Amino acid sequence: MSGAAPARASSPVFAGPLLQVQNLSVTIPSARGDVHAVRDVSFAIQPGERVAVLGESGSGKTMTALTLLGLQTPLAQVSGVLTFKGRQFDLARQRDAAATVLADAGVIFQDSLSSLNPISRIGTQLVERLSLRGWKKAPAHVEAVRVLNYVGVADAEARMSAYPHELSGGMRQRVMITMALLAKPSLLVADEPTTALDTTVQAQVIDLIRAVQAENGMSLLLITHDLAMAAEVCDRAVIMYAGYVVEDVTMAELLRRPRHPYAEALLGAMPRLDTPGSQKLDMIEGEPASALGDFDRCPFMPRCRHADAACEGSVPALAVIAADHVARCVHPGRVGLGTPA
Amino acid sequence: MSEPVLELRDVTKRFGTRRRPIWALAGISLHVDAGETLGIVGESGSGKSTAARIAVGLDLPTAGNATVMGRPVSESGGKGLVQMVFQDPSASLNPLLRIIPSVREPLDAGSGKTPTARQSRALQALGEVGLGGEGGDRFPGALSGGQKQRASIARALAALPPVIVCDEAVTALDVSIRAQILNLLRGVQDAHGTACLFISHDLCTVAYMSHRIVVMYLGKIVEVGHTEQIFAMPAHPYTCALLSAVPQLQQGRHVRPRIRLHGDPPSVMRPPSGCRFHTRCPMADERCRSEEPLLRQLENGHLAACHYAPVDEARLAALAAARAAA
Amino acid sequence: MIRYMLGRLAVLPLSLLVVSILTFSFLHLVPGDPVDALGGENLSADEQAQLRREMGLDQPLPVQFFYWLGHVVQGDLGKSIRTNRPVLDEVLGRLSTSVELAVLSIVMALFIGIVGGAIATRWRGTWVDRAIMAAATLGMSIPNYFAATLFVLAISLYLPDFGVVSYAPLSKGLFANVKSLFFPALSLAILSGATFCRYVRGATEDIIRNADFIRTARSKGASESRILFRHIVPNSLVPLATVAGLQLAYLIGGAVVIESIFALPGLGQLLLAAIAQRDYPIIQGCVLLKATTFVIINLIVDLLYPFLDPRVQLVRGGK
Repeated sequence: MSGAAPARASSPVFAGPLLQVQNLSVTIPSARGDVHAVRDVSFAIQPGERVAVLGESGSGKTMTALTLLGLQTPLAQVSGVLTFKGRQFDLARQRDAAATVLADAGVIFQDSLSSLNPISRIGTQLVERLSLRGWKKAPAHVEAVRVLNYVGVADAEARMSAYPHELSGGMRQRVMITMALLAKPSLLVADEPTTALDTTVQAQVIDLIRAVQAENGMSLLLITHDLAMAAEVCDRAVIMYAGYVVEDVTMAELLRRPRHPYAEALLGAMPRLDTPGSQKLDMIEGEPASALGDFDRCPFMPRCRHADAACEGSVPALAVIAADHVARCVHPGRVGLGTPA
Repeated sequence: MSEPVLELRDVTKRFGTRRRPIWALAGISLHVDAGETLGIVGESGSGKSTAARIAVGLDLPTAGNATVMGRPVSESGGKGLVQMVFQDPSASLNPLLRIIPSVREPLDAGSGKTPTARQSRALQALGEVGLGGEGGDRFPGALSGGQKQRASIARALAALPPVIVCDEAVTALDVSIRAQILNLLRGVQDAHGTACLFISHDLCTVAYMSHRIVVMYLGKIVEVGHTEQIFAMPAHPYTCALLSAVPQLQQGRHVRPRIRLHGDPPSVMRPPSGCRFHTRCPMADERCRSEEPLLRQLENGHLAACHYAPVDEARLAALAAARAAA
Repeated sequence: MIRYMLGRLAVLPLSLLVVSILTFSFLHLVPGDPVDALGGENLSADEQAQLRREMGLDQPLPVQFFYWLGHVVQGDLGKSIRTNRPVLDEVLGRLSTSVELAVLSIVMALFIGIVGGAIATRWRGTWVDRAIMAAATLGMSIPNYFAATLFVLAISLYLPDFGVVSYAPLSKGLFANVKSLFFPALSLAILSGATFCRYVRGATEDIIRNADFIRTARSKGASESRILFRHIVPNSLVPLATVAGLQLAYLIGGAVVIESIFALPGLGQLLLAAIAQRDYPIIQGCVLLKATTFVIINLIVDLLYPFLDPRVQLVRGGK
């Protein structure tokens, strides 16, 4: 979470993180009251860094990513500060701030079948990505075929005239990756990119994302609930719960010793292959917290095994564990002892 | 040796027309003994869901038979003896019925008990899954995903069937809830001695729940064995690849050698000749292309359908890497 | 493809048979017959009986029906009792008028529906959206003869040189043809167009809410207008095709009231007159044509589907 002061807006080279968000809050009014999808979220992505935003349904992880790209629902009320390549934006007042990020980002969505226009050919949709940036059709077509080849799509030229439903899930996801890569973005955002895929295909796609990121040096923002996959790919983990960031830490340290009870519980609750059968799954009692309303205590408290009276009264602030490690807990010292490595 | 509680013998299932058949299952045999959990693992097109439906009696096999306690599943003697827990908790509970009537339904359908006895058994079942008290009076819409799945489990167990089938029962649930439901399933199973057919694409979950595991590929069984056998010494190349594809929590390191398969799963409508896996197998040769391997016994209870089983994982990984580089 | 078409058309003979039997039965349930219609009260009972014998109306009903059927199968639809001209000539002569009216009306309705729906979608949630939907509801509630009468009134008052009165067939030039059919078609198009508009708007709402590919398009930086015209509207046309096809088939059979108000020599007029005159051959002939039209138009719409939605594959028995 280190960051130098943002460079001047006009200078092409910037110091500090590629993207930094501070105090991001997203509220969506609904019939049942305000839904605080994202609460006071801050984190940074360095150039070339691979960051995973982890959480379950209701954690706010997807809404965070969408908001950073300006793809959130128009009803959402957004506030916070976004710094991208040294330029700072006040999200509450500058609605086009996220468009700057979007212009330099490539997005891979979860469900490739519904994320592609079903009645339009693959080639048309890929070319659209470039033609919206001023490319002419012919060179755009050539570039699309080139990148399709690069991501491992056999027979790329033929595939350009296919429709989305004619391709397999793995192939479609490669097309989505191609679409993301086409404009040579500085940031690759992947929202649950493998959830809808078969296990063996998941592995292929993850390998591909890893290779692409490594070869092109772009930053990666991976949104997922799969801690194991995130551990394979990312350097840093931002764990979210009920709209809050509850832990922000390097992946290695997270696996060694988490400092938030939710992270600890997640690690314990995942069935693992190296000790099948003999493992006793740690359960997390209760249900994920709702995003409605405000909290006057730690949102994880009802499910936490370390909770006590000190956890009531207000939402805990982010405790600084180390220079690049924070956790939103009043008792981080009790957490993470006895984590199997 | 006692008779298995649930048995599928040489089951074949064809969808589509005679002219354009889709062989979802091309001759599989499996059995579940009393009190044991048999896991079925496979990807899309493997036929595992079809097998589940045939086991419960929702579909009839084109050939072969499915029996529970010796009686055919689809007939009156066998109906209701196999209950199912479905993947989507929202879709499998009638939104217009309160939970208690839903849970009571298998009992109402014919257990011969009095209404009072049925009601109290339903309440008891709900209590076992942790939905006691006023949970039963609510409508499904008022429950969370995890709670709905608990209700589904209560419904499956209400009539105390000898065997239940869980088809991706936890896939649609949040990770933090999955552990609860899995432990719940194990608990009620142990309490009642219920056998279980547990189907999932997630190897870790299947490993946690099952005593024995069946690995399916494109409508056929490619490997069968006890859980420890499968994970310690996978014999079929597909099983090896499947195991190596699962991300592990050790950051960056892979416990198993990485075996990456080339290409996509072939279409069920046009299965490859010979061994169905040969198009993606790093060590396929001429024999694999022409001759279909049969399931053969490698050691006690461990079978694999491969000409070269048991395969050496390291060698397989090397071959896969060489193929990828080419 | 050919097999598919033949398979679909195989249902035609059976449905024509059933429709003919039903029509025939209902016709003979209605009191009166051609002799009465031709002014038979003026004749003596004997003369009436003789006339009926000549027309074959004294035969038992099944005999009459099979006699007619036998001729139809050989291609002879009989002669009009009223005009004595062959039924086939009468019907086909009117067919072109009805088809022109129907096609023009559908084209207008599609235009109204798609453009209205698209504009409402572009400004969804605002007063524009609500106004267009309200107008659509209004359009669906106005009886088309009411609109037609209003048009006739308006034209005669404000556009006397429009000269709408008489119908000009295509042989007199496309422009004259369209001009003579403009207001009749518009009267019909108001209802259809309003219905299409609501369909389109419903489809676009469903797409916007549920379809992730809109989000993908946004993530590529597409403008709202581009998203609307390239992505949303084309996907909303699929459900519209079925409805439009049915409407077209219905209209070809003859829009009776509109033809009457605007004095257009179409099938509707022919059928209406024939019913009043108990002109059985004409009635049966019109009904055969209507049924055939329905089957063929439905087939054409189904054949169009793969062009509108590449996911659709034609399977014998339907999509």
